[in-house]
Amino acid sequence: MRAPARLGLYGLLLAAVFAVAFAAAGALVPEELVRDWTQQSTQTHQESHQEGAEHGHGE
Amino acid sequence: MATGSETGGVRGGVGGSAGVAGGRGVEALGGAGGRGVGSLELRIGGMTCASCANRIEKKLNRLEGVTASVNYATEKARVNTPAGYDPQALIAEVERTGYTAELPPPPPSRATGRGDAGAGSPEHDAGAGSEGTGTGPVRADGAADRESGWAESSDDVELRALRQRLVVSALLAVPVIAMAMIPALQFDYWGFASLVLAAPVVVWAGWPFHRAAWTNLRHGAATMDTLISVGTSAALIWSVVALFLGTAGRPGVVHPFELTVSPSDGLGHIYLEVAAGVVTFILLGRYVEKRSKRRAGAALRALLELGAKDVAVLRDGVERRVPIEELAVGDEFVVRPGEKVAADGVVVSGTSAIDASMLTGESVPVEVAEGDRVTGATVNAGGRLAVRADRVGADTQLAQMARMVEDAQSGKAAVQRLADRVSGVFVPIAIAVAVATLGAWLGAGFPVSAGFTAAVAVLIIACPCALGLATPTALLVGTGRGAQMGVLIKGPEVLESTRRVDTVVLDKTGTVTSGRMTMSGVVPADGVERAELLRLAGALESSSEHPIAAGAAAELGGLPAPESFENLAGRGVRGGVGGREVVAGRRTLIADRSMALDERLTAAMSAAEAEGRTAVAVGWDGAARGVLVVSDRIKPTSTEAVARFRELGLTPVLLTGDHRAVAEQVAAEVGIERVIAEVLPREKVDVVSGLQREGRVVAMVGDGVNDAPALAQADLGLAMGTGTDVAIEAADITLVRGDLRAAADAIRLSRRTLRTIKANLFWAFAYNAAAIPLAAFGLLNPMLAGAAMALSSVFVVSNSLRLRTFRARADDAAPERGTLERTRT
Repeated sequence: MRAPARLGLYGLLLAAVFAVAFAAAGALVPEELVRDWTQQSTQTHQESHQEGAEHGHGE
Repeated sequence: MATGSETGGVRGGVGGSAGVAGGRGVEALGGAGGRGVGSLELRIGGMTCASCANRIEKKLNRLEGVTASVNYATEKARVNTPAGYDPQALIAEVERTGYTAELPPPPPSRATGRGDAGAGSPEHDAGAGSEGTGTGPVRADGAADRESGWAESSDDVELRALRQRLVVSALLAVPVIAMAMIPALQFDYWGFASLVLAAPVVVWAGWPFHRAAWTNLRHGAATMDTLISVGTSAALIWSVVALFLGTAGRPGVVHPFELTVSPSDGLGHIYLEVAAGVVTFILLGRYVEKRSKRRAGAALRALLELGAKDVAVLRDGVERRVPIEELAVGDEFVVRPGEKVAADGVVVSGTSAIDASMLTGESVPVEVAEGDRVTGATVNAGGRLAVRADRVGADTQLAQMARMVEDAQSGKAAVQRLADRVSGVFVPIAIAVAVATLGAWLGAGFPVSAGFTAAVAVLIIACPCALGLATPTALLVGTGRGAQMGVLIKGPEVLESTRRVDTVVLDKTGTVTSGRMTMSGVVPADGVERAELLRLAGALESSSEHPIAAGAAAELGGLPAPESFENLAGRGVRGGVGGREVVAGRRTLIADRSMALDERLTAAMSAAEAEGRTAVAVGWDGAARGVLVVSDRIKPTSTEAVARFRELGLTPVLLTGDHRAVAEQVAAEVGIERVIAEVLPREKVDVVSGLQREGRVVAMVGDGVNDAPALAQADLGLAMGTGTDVAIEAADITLVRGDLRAAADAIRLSRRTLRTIKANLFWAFAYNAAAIPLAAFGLLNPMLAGAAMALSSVFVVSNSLRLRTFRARADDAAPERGTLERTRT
């Protein structure tokens, strides 16, 4: 198979994989999980920020 | 093609059959000689795998009138074009395909038309016949210089560039890695400092990977370079985004030293140490690999260096020394004792003995006289000869042999790096997983940045750092252990063959046997003292350097000098020793002098000859006084070696130019069933290809120059270190000590090294593959990524070091063997 055709086919495959994953995750992953994750991640972010500030000031 | 070129006059036992060698020659790539076809060689650059070579070949072949063959291993393209074709058009086509091409540098020595494999000259049509157009730079001297000019400069330049990248990369990567791993070093804005150091590593030092990845992509292929390029680029780009658009660049941000996995804020992390570390390790692996890579063309060089450089040409009765290129067909030239014969030809005057050992391995000099053929590059061991040249330059046997070696090396399919093959599958999968990750994160409702973080993390972690070390470290340790054992392995491509080898072809003389004729039997006639027989015969034969003399001297401790000596060409020798006239030689010589052999002596001679040994009858004072037997001794370790081959699953085959009787005798003694005897030197390579056509994977063990083409053709060539330089260069493995058991060890070691490489590759990927789910779920942090990198590298190196425990069985003492002196009384 010639290269452009092969690459084109692979691109289509990737698009299909993306679509399937998108749909599957949307159907299977509960919304609470997403909310909790976002909260936790923001917290961690704030904590490390504080630590950094202390660290910076402490020198 | 001239007949009898290989056999006429060579009585030393190199096959007895006359007749044409079937015109095996070189399969012409394009036209036959005499059609105005030009040919040239191009040096191709940028190829990363065998399919690249195929691609270039197809593109060149599409050009009108052009036939081309591209070899990945030697990085050369051999192209046949119509006369006057512009080479720049070929170069342009190669460049359009995405690679580079260059013409060879001009040879420093004067290039003349004489030895040139050109078109249409009468000498060449007569001699060249089925040899084809001589499509390589195979000529007496210019070729050797051209080859060395090419091979040396290009390889050195590449190696230097690689070393430069490696050193710079290492210097810059160390602080980057240190800062990422040690929180105490993470001062304010350390991320930007990291970027400044890491960017040149990823972009400049890693440039060869990016370039190769792009070329491969254009052809729809993926190799290790693709994996490295994608991984390190993703890491760099992500880190830049995190620094400038994310939180990673804020003062006081640190990488907490924790291996625990937690949902991380990807935009707060940079992965520069992964990128820099990967590039550095892979460059290290490549550098090690390249240094040990065999230089194609070395065999060719060694062969061509065997030829004479100049010749004493006789014109109008005047002798003049000229460079070898000026010798033409029909010229008469002189060969003095000790000199090399300049070209193939016929003896016009003089008698002498020719030492052809460098070509045939036969140690006994062969007598020649007027009308006999001689071969170029052999040594005149006797008297002055005048020879008329009938084959010069590219048509000599030596040049033909060089062509055969080159053809065999070109024809060998290149084994793609294992790592590339694995990458070819791994890369598309890793990219698909990254895309799936992105899709899943977005589909579930997570923020876009989180989705990208996870997807990029997958790409980063999929790039195994130890991948570049997997093969080179195992190879380094394996070949190092081999060198300790006296087994020199040329390169990684050799190892794959050893796994599949199922047949081993053994050259007889010098490989299974010692290659040196030694005295193995003494039969004095009734009433004759053994010591006296030895003394007289030994003294006489000492003038001709016959092995009998050496054997006698060894036993007696010294020999008297003969008063006179005469060589009776082809029949024996005669001379005076201690006042007696002594004669030694064939039966007929003794009989002619009315010295009849009695029954016992006759039986001894017949028995020896039936076993393929050489028997010499000796007589003096009117009577036959005894028979001396010389033979080539089988090495004491050969039988054991053959048994070991069988244990490894190899079928041994004995291959020799010697008489069938001798060959079968030797084979029976060492335990070999299949014997192929009376093979002309140039037919040896046909035997190997014949076996390969039967579907076998063939290993060949040899030592002589005439073994070189067969060694190159074999899937695995092993040369005895005690053999010729040419054989050593043509082979894949050299057995330094000349012990055949080492061949079995070499195969065992190679197989174990290959297994180690495969294990390394598996683990190199395994660590990273296990981390992919972590990355996909957003649980990756730089510590984990760094730890995976370090662990897999440590594992690979440690696993490779285990090869040092390989035990050679050839180190065991040679088995006790009685000598072959059967006819001692």
